[in-house]
Formats: sequence, C-alpha cells, structure tokens
Amino acid sequence: MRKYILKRIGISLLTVFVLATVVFFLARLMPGGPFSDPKISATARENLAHYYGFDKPLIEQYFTYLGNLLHGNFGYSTKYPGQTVNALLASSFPYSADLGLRALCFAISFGLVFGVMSALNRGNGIDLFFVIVAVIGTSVPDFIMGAILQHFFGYKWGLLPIAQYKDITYTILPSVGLGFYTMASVSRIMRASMLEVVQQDYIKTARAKGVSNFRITWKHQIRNAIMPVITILGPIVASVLTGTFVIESVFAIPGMGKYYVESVQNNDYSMILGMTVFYGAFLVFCNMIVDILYGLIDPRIRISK
Amino acid sequence: MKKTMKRFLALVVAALIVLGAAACTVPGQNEPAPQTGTTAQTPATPSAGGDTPATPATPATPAAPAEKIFRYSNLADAATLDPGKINSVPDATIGYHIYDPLYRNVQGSLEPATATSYDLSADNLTYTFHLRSDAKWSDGQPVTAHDFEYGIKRICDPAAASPMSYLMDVVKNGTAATQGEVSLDEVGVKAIDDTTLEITVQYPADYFLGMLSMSVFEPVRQDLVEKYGAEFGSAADKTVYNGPFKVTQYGEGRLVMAKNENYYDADKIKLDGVEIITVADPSTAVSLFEQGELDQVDLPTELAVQYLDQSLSYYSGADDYAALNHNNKYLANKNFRLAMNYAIDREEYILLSHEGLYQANQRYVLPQVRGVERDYGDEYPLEAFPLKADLAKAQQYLAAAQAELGFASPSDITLKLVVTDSDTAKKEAEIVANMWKNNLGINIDINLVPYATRNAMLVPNNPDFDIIMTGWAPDYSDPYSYLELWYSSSGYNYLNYHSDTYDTYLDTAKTTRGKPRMDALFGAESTLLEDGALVPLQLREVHYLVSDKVQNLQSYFIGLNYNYMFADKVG
Amino acid sequence: MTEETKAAAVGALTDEDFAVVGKNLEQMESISRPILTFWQEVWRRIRKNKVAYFSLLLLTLYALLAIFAPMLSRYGFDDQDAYAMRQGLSATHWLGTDSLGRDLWVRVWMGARVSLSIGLTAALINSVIGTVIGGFCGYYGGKLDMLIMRLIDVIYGIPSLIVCILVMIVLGSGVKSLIVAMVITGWAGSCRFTRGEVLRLKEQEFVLAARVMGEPVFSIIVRELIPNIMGLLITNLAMAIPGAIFQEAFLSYIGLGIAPPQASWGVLAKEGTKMLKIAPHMLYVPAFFICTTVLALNQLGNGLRDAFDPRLRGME
Repeated sequence: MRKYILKRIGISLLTVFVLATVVFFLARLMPGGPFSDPKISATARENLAHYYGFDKPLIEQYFTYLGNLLHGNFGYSTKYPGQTVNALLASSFPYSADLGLRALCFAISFGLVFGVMSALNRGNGIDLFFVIVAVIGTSVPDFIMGAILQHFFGYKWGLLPIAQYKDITYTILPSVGLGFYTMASVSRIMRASMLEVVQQDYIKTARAKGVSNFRITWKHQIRNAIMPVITILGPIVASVLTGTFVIESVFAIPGMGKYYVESVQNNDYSMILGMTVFYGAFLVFCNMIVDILYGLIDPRIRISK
Repeated sequence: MKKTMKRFLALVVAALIVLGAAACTVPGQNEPAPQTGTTAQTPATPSAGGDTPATPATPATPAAPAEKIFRYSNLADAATLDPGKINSVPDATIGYHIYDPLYRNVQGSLEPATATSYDLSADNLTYTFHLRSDAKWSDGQPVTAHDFEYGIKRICDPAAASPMSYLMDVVKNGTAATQGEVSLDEVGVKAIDDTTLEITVQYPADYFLGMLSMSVFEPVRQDLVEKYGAEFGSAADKTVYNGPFKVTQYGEGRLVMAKNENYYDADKIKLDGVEIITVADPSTAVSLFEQGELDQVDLPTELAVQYLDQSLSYYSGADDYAALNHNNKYLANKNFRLAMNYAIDREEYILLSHEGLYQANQRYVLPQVRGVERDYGDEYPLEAFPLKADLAKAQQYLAAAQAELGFASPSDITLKLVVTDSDTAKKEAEIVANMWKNNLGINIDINLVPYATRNAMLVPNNPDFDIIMTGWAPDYSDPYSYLELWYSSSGYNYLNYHSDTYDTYLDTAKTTRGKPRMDALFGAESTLLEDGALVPLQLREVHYLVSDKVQNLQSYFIGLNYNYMFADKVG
Repeated sequence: MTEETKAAAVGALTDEDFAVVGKNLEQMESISRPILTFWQEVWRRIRKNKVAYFSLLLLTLYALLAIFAPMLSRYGFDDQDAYAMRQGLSATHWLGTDSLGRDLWVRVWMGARVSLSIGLTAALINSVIGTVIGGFCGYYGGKLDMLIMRLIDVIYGIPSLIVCILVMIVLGSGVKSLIVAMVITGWAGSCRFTRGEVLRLKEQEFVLAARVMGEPVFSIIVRELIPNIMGLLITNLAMAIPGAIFQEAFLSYIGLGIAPPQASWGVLAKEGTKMLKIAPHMLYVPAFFICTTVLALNQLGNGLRDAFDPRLRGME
C-alpha cells in the first residue's frame, strides 16, 4: 500500500513538473508579447521587458522560473503591474474553490438522491422524470445552462441574483449551472448501479430473512450502489473545476477562471504560468487523493495498477 | 476494514449534503465592510453562517438616509492604482477621481485644480505653475511641487518602465530620457519651491494644458514609491490619494472609493463614495442595472435600440478603421485602396454592426476634437467617402488598378484580414469582408487572434496581415493625436504609408500655431484620405443608461469616459 | 378445479386429434434462426433497441441535412441582410436569422458540418493513435510500456482544457488547430483503455493458439486482438464525440473557435447567449441541435454497447 501511495505521489510531482515546463514554453510561443498595447512605444516596450527580465535568454528565464516555483513564488503579473501572481491567486482561488465545492456538493448530493429515487420508482412517472432530467443534464454545455438559468431565474423572474458572488443567494445559480452536468451523470450512474445491486443475492437473502424494505434500501442497496460513483470522483472534480472558467464569466465572479482567460488573452506570462501550475497542481492533488482513497477502499485497484 | 470504510463513506456523503445546503461562507463576505458601508441593496452579511436571506430582487428601502454611493461597472478589473502605469480609459477614469492634477480638463475646458494659475514664457515653451498651499494627501501630508516633479520624471525613467512614457514626448527631453540618452535631471520639469512648478515643453503645443488631467502628470509620493517598490499602487493601502476620492477596497472584482475628507474642495463633493464592480458580460451589466444594482451602465448596441428613449450617448473618441498594409502588392496601389473604400457601404455597415447607432465615419479625424476655436469638424468639414457604397466608382478604380497591376481577375486576389476575437470586432470584420467580396469580387480570409496578438501586429513592416481591424482613441483634443501615427518614420506607422506631401503638412504643423497649423493638419488628413490609405468605418457613440437618482454625471471622450466628481445621488 | 371439469376438459380431446409424425432428423438438426454474422447480429440488436435505433436515424438525418441543406437553400450561409436582423422563426427564415440577418437554417447546417466533423475527426484520431500505441504497449509490455504509461499518467493529470487553450493560441484559430489541440490531450484516454483490454485478451486461449501457430505479432494484434475489442472501441468512439463537441463549444465560448464567416454550433450558441434578452431563438436553435446530437450519440453509444455485449444490457 505504501508503495502504491509513494508511486502515486511521484507521478503527481512529475506531472506538475511536466506541466510547468510545457506551459512555460507554450506561453513563450504564443504570438505577441505582454506589452502589446499599440500606444506603448518601442522604447517603453524595451524598458518594460528589461524591468520584468524578459530580455534575458530563455533558458535562464526558465531556470529562474523553476527556482522561483520551488519557493512557491510566481512573480509579478504584467497585466496588473505591481500585483504578485500569488496575491491574485490568493484573492481569486477562494471564489473558484467555493463555487467548485458548492457545485460538487450540489451535484453529488442531488445526483445520488435523484438516482436513488429514480431506481426505487423504476418504470413509473417519477423514474421517467428523473431519467429525463439526467438525460437533458448530460447533453447541455455548461455555458448554455448557466446563461439560461441566469436569464430565467435571475432576469425574467427575479427569483435569484443575476450576477456577482456576495452571499448564499448569489451562489445558487452558478453552483447549479456548474454542477448540473455532473449531477446528471451521478444520477445516471447511481440509478444503474442501484438496479444492478437489487438483483444481487445478498439483497434476496436479506429480503428472505424478512428485513424491512427501508432497511434493505438504506443499509444494503444504497451503500453498495455508491461504489461506482466514488470511482468517477476524480474526473468529476476536474470537470467541475474547469467548468468554473465559463460559469465565472457568465456570473461575473472574480475567480481564477476569469483571471486565467484574461492572462492568456494578454500574454501575461507569469500569470499564465502561475495560474496553470497552481490549478494543475491542485487538480493533480485532487486526483491523487481520490486514487489513494479508492486504493484504500478497493484492494483490487492496487493490484491492477 | 470494509465496513468501517463504508460507514466513513456514508459520513462523507452526508457531510457533502450538509455543506451543499448551507454551511460554507462565501469568499470575501467576511472582509471588513468598506468605510463607506455598503448600499441598501447589497447588505453585507457578516454572520459566518452566510444564511441570512438577501433580497436583491426587491431592494429594501432603508430607514436611515442612505449613503450616496454611485455604482457602475467596468469590463475588467482596474489594472493598477499607480498613476504611472494606468493605461486604459476606464482605469484613467478612476485615476481622474482619486488623484488631483495641476489643471483639470472638464468637458474640454480647463479648470484650475492643484495649480491655481500659470505663466507662459514668451517663446511658448516654459510653463510656470503656481500651486495651492492647502492641497493635502489622504495621509495628511501636503501636496508639493516636488511630488509633481517626481511623478513626471518617474514616467521618463527607463528603470521605472512606464508603459505611457510616449506621452512625455511633449515634455522637453522626455523621449530622450526614456531612451536613456540623457539623464532624468535634464527632463524639462522642475520644482522651484513647494508651490511653484516649472515645465518646459519640447515644442509649442496648444494642447499641452489639456493633457495635464492625464494620470501621467499626476503627483507621486517618492517616499511611498521607495517604500513599496514594485508594489506601489497595487493595493488600496499601497498609495495615497490627493483627489476627491480615495480607494478603500481594491481587488476581488470590485473597487470601492470613499470621499477623501482631506481634499481641499471636499465640501463640493456630494457623493459619499463610488463602487465599481467588474462585469465582463455587457448584457449581464444591463440586467444588474435593471434590478437596481448599478446606477449607470453602458449599453451594447444590440440592446441599446430597446432603450433609445431613456438612454444618453456620447462619442467615446474611438475611431475604428480597417488599416491597409501598403507593403502588400495590391494594397500598395492607390486605385485599389480607393476601390476598397468605395466598395464599403458605411450606412449598411453601421446598421448591421451597431443598429445604426454609431456614426459612420466618412473621414479620419474625430470631428469633435478641438479646432482653432470650435470643433475641428465644424471648422473643417469633410466627406471623403460617400455614406452609401459607390459601386460604379469602386469598379472604375478597380479597373484602373487591374490595368496598373495586371492581375487577371479580382477573384485571384486573397487578402488576409486580422481581427481580435471579441464578438463585436468579429461581426464588424464579417460585414466588411462580405462587402469586399460581393462588391469587388476579391477574397478575404478572416483570421481571429487574441487581443494581445492583434496589438502586437500593429508595428511598421509587419507581413502578418494585409488588412487589420483596429482604431485609435486620442490622448489630447487635437487632430494631431490621430495624424501623427502615419508620419513616414513614425513608430506607429503600421500602414507603411509613405507620402511626402503628408509628411510636409505635419512638419508645418509642428512649427506653427493657430489657424495655419490647423490648415496644415487638415491638409494632412485630406491627403491621407485622397490616397485611401485606410478604410475609415465608424466613430463609436456609446449609449448608456443612468439611474434617475444620479445627477450631474458627465461623459467625455478623451482620457476618461465619465466624470462623477461633482455627481450627486438623490432619493 | 374439480375432478369433473378436469375430466370434461380431457374428454374434449380424443385420440383422433393426434397424429404420429415420426422422427425427422434433418429438421432436428436444422438451425431455425437465420445465420447471422457478428455485424448482422449487432445490427439486429440495434434495430430492436428503439432508442438507439431512433438516435441513429436522427444522426443520419442530421448528417444528410448538414450535407444537403446548405446546397438546397436559397440563402448563402454568409448572405447578410441589414433589414432582416434577428428575426424569429418564420416561413421565409425557417429558424430565424442572426445578428447580421443571415439565415439560421443554413448556418445551423453549415455549423453542423464543422461541429460534427471536428467531433468525429478528433475522436477518430484519438482512437486510432490510442489504439495503436495502447495495443502495442499492452501486447509487449516491458520498459517502453512502463515509460508510455507514466507519460499517460502525466498527460491524464494535466488539465486538458488549459493546454488546449494555449495550443489554440499558439497555432491560431481554425478547424485544424482545434483538432490538433484536442488530439494532443485526448489520445491518452483511449490508449489506456486499449492497453487494458489487450492485457486481458492476450492471455486467452485463441491468442495463445495464434502465437503457437507462429502468427506474427503485428498480425496477432491486428487480426486477433483488435477485432475483439472493436465493439468497445466503437462504443467509446460514439461516447467520445459528445465530449469533443462540448470541448469545441467551450473553446468557441472563450473566443478560440473557428474563423468567421464559418461558424460551428458552439460559435452560434455563444452568439446566442449574448442575445438571450432580445432574440432568444439565437440560443435555443443551436442549443437544440447540440443537445439532441449529444443526446443521440450518448443513447447510440449505450445501444452499441448493449449490442456488442448483451451481458451488459441495462447497465448505464
């Protein structure tokens, strides 16, 4: 087990390193530079490049960057002069994390409940309703879902705030918009898993022993059916967190997604690198935790890997 | 093992459900409330639970007289509060309200600010400003002429690397110092004593005083720059303010200002504060305005038609055109360029791109800039190209070009058109490309690039584009601000336009004043358009909505978009 | 049932009602169902699965419309009309018009060409690359396999969209860049999958038999292993296309789509989200086609999986 965990950590570190390197060179390959306002004079551009150290040889910049990375220092943004990428991360990450966490909570809790209810009502109207919700949920891109939710619940009916992120009412639409796809997937998986579990012998045994229906559903069926959902937690976390890019721009939330897209559009090198490495490392970390957890839960995984 | 694990999982799921329902706090929510307090519509809920129901859709009417907070939105966060690094109009608008210059440009007229009067030397080169002695920074220290001198020299300092240093071309030795050719001591700005400042200009410039409102001419505190280094102006508490407002919160998608009690004219400032939120999607901003969360909003033109009876408008100064690269074989031909110009139906273009709400541009210079005594456009009217497409003329010029260049058919020609990937720019490009295709029969290949990439292409002798959709916004109210771009040796001349006549006119304008100068500038503009050097398209007319409660909000087209210094909010 | 009624029921039939037919060996040995090849069998199962069959029909219809609708319409996909901007659905413009007065019916089908071909091509290239590399890795194992698997672990860990965005900016906008960006990050998934399957299959008797009979490795992979995982590969392909369509829409949303005046469904939907207040059809129309296509592909994928492996029927 320890070997498995160590290996997993090693791969994660390697992943972050590769990501940091690839993104460093990709960013420098992007056409244009960070000081591309047409009004900036050529002299000012040279002065700025010198100021930020972009006039040094690329390899030297790369090693400086790696060195700084080891100290967790991402340098200064060029789009927001004087602000460190660390400070911008510190201010924006909580928003993304909060939104992502809420969306995850919504997706998993509602997905499980919908899946269970759907399975327990197999074949009747309730099942059909949940199946339709799930099927629609998995076929609508999140920016369309976000825009439609915002338009109806926020603008047309005035039930919830349209944009920004101030208190809990503000968080509902973005979390639902972000989590809907995942919610639908979880609900589908849960439903299928429930239906499979119900045919297992131990359920029949329990039923034969005269265990109450409620107890069977709660203690045997749901608990066993939840396992496949756990396996997709890793990809779910990744998809929800990348989804924040779009949802943040729809709902004017000052999270990382907004800053990332902005930095890419402005060739803000330190920002691109800082955001990507931090974000990538975070995702890698989430995946690692899920994998390790899953390895703990299911010994078969350790062997097959 | 397995059983405990399952129990653990059940717990995790239960915890998730609880969390999802209510438990976590929203980031930023627990921050100390800004000194001005928040508005009635946006109650800050300091409770950790965060479950206080807010009712944004139905704003509660406050019992106590509400603080007068003017709220509006920008598309992006303010990049910096450092006056030496501000380089966008929305940020300059903020700079205008938190710093106080020597003279304020108020709707084009000059109003004394920190300076109360000035003397101009006989050779029109040396300005001596007399500063008021009661001007104070928000930390209580007096504003002195030394702060101005330091601020201006810092722009010229290569080590400080200000992106706006090109504006110092007007100041004596400004450009030379930026290039590191002369020392900062030789820059033409000097504090004689605490209240006397002397600025020497490179050449007589009638528009110089109008430029003093710009952030680059604001005073800067040397002690603070030395204290915070690179981080000066990167946070609300990493700079001090001498303007009517001071920033109390900056970051996380908002910028909050409070009235600066140390401002010498504080009793004339009626607003208690200003709140600017970042909303990247213009139509979301309109929704926020409609729900009473904003007091002012710019309307995207598609939506503006719905609000024509309530909206106000102003020219933003932005002048959009399709720039032609004269290094291209075909575009080097004057007749070909003229054919391109006559093939554009500017009326239909405006209708398609902006619901007819922008002004089709039939010339190059914004007519609203200052001429000799009145607006330049009134003194020198010009309709270089017709409003509707003139297909007969376009074909005639095309035929002439065909004869000169000897191409078999226009359909053999493919021009690469570069445009930024914003929705509006993309739409504009699609319209002109379609007109050229249909009216001239040439092929246009549209390339979408990110904003930074497009901007980086705007340099002389760039082979990466044939046509590029771009524009210019003036820095000072004078035709020269537009015309200086195309001087043969200008660093901005991405058209690669070379005309001796044009250069001669501009040379004349540099050495004359008054009407002869303006005549020369008009001569340059006419030459440019007779050569069809570029394809002028539109002058942006921004339509915006203002809440009934807000009074005395002004808009302007140079250096800032809105002036809410003396605005008030009632009811 | 009483004794009397039983007797009466039996009494209703007499011996004359029965005849001796004797033994018919030929008939006993004959196969009553028609002989079907594997693919015919799959096709039969799909035909029987109403949802999957309907999905297939819908996708075929979309594909045909994408090919023919733009040719048959009297509007060109980039014909602008300043006097018909953002019109709703009508007899002249079946799906309304967009912000430049262009006919949405034509644009939707031109968009379908782009979106469907990007989705299909990206998913296909991913599968091919992944299958080839995965197949060899799985079969050979060893150091190279180790190395490639670590590489895949790394690629898997990297948030693909971030790399996609950067690659798109470096390569410039356009269909080719979109596909390249998607392939760079996408092949790892199918590679890992194929490798797993090959690992499972290569220990089975028929592979052993082939090996014993001296079949070359390449031929074993291509003729024995890949046909056996073909079903799963096709299923995965059908399931991967929606992902690619979503990804294209996402990249279009942040402004990195394809070059105008061409438009994909993602671009149309993006334009639509901005017009929701005044011309909601501009969002609903492309959204409808994105959703139904993705929906149909997902259902078809499920159907295919059931058809290839009936034991999995009913599983999600």
